[in-house]
Amino acid sequence: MSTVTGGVVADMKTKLPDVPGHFIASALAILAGSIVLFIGLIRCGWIVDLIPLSALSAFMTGSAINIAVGQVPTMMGITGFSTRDATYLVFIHTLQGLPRTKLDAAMGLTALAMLYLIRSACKYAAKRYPQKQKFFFFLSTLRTVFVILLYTMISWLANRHMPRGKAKFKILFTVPRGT
Amino acid sequence: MLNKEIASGIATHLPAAVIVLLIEHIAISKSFGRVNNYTINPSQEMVAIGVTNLLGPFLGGYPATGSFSRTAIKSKAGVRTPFAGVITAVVVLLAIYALPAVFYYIPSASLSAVIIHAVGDLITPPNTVYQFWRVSPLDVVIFFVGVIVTVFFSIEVGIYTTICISAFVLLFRILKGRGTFLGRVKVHSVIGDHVIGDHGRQIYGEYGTMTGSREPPARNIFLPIDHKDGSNPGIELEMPYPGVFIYRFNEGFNYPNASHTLEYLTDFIFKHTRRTNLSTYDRPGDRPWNDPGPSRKERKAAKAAGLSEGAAGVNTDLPTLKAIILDFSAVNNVDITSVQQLIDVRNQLDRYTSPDVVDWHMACISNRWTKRALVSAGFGYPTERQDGLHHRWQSIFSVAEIGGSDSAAQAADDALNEKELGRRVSQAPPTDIEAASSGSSSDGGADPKAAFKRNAEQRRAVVVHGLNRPLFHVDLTSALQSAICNIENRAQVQRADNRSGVDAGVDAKQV
Repeated sequence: MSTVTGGVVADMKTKLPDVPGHFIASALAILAGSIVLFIGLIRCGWIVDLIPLSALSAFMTGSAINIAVGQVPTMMGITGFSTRDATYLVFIHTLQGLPRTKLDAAMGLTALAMLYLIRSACKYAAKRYPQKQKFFFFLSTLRTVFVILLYTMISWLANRHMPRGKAKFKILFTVPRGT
Repeated sequence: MLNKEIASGIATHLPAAVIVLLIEHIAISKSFGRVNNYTINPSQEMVAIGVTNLLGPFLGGYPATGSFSRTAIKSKAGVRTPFAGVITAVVVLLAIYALPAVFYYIPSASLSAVIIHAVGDLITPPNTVYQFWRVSPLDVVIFFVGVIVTVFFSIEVGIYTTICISAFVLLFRILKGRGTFLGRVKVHSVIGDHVIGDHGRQIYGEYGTMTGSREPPARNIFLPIDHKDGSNPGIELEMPYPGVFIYRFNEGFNYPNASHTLEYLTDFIFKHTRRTNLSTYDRPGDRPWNDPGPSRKERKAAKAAGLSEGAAGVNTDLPTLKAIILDFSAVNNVDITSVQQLIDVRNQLDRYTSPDVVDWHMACISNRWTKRALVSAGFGYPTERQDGLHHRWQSIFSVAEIGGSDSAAQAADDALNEKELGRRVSQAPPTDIEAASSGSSSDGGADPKAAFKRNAEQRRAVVVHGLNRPLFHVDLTSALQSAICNIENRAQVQRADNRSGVDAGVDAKQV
């Protein structure tokens, strides 16, 4: 959903440049929400049965590839092109930009490797010790939090002496309170 | 905040947004419904996401739908009620007010790694794709087309493409659906090393209903004669009777496929039968221009064999068309197009078999509207014949036993049935044809009232379908019995040069 919303906002930016992006997103939510609410209220929920499983899987797989490929440039610190293009274009641009890889890749690739490592370790351990299966499952679900906290700490150690608004690699910087 | 300009700009993206909103949410709720053994009400789910997306934007929200990962974690964590959502909300609120200072140092690259890792699970694994392939190869093609289109164009186009292709495939299947010709084969059920039916009476005797009856050791089943269903090709399936065809509709019988399925029916029949009347057309001009007629060579051969000119080019070994049995078990509704096509085919085949007419038996009609449609199209009772032989129609009705034999409700029911039957027989039927059918059923010895009285001491039986539609049958076996019985009866009557038809009833019973 977020991908589609992002696409709509990007598209509207070219059509109506003076309207802020979050307006578009909210407007889309209200319009789509009222349509869905209407369908629900007239009890036409069976309409979802018109979407077959093949379409569903294709959508899931396609959008997963789309999102993943779109995130690779950020992970490697490659900049200089739009990640909203068609997936294959983003992929080609990423390959072309590989020489421009920055220090970000150290933070991104290791994080990705660690996530997969923790998951496979938990999977193996759950198989090895079946009585502790649930424990390993939650250990596995907490891997995201763990990795984020770990890399935030690394980032803090690396950037604490940098002036505000400057960093050795891209970080989120100021996140406004309460949004 | 929402003005006409924005709305019209968004409008083109709206269908895709709605579909994505729906399929993400419904897919999640359905899969977790299956895991935790409950069914969802899609309409109610839609009300839920609709309200969420209507109210959310007033607090600065953007389109929201169900989340697979959060649902999975909560489900495993033992969440049972929607109240868990409140707790999640509180935690999220606390985080966004207390932790922005920490968020400052989150590296974007690691965040991207987390996102990539999370969406990696959404990719359909090759194992599942192989499973799809084993179920339906066509769906895998659709799947890959969808993925490729999503990668090369956009998610929206991908959704539209897959849905359209799937709908088109379904439509094409209905459009090109046709029937199957069935042949009869006798089967025995075997347990271990003995055949059920020889000792079957003891097995079923405990209900008290079967004690008097003899369970036949063999029963009829009907299989496609081309063995396309994968049945043992060693089984010899023949046409049940010369000139009788059993045809089953496979993909319904509605306007998209009516002409296709009936064309196949007539083509097959023309290939396996010959014209009843072999004499030539009265005038050469009566032959349709697109009927090539016999070639000169065939005509010469016919003359040499001493046959009439009409027999030229016709294989006289083939039977003439006598009856067609239509199996409606795969048909729910019919429409005026399909019924009109059926009427056209009936007229066409009546010309083909003239001066004889074809008997149209219908079996396994499961919908009263379909029955009504067929009756109003003139099916269900014997066709009027010039020689008046339709008055000799032998009706075979299926009767069913009802209830326990000695209950009070049973007795009341019997009284009602008796009254009902009595009234129907005594009532003067409004049309000529109905008179024919009820009259024949009484002189044919198959009068259900008499049969009913005779067996009244042992068991109660009622007819399954109406008596006024002798050509609608409960199953293929009774349809075939009726078809063969009437063909033989008619042949005998014609041979006996209109002798009294009393003994015809005896003949019918032997079938």
